Amino acid sequence: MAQDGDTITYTFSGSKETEDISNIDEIVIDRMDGADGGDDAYDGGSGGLIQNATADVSDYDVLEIWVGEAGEVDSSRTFGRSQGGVGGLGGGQGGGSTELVARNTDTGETKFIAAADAGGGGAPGSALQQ
Amino acid sequence: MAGGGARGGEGSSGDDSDAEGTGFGGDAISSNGEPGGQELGIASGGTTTTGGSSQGDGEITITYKASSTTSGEPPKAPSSLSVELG
Repeated sequence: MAQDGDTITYTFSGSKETEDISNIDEIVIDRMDGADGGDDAYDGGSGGLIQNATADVSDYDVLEIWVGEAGEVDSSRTFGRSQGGVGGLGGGQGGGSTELVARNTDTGETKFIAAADAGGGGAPGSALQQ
Repeated sequence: MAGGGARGGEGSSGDDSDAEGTGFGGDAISSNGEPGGQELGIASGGTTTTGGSSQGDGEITITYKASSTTSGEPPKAPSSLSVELG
């Protein structure tokens, strides 16, 4: 359970994390980094960045934390609340999205707080030969 | 071709576009992939830019506050104090 004054850094774990915020009225997003897109012959894009944003969460008791996975050159989708796209013909994957969602377990209401979007994947060398 | 970054909808696979319109993940264009954007829902203030993680997974740092610390600064102590004795 999160307590007043706690500062916590959440890193990629491969699954959604939850935090009990029953005792919390406000969160400060000190820093929220979106995941990188996968590199191939060219670099994947960097993720979006949010710093020092605040949100009133007094009406909610659970915080959903989705930390996106960086893209690689792979045939699977990257993890995130929304998954990144798969690279075709060897191109880099897009990264998965990094997002925060507040939920009230009594009413079932959920509220989107913020997202740092993921970068797109880099192209393979062959794409430039077209 | 490369995959699009994600936000809200899944990134497109095997083509160069993201899943949907503005505010979503960066496109994968025919060279370097585009950077992802940002979106604020009930959050406000602060700064939103590109330049998040360029070499890895996402990351979030959050500070939690209860009402005792969200109502503003505590009252300041008086700079001087005098007491009259009867």
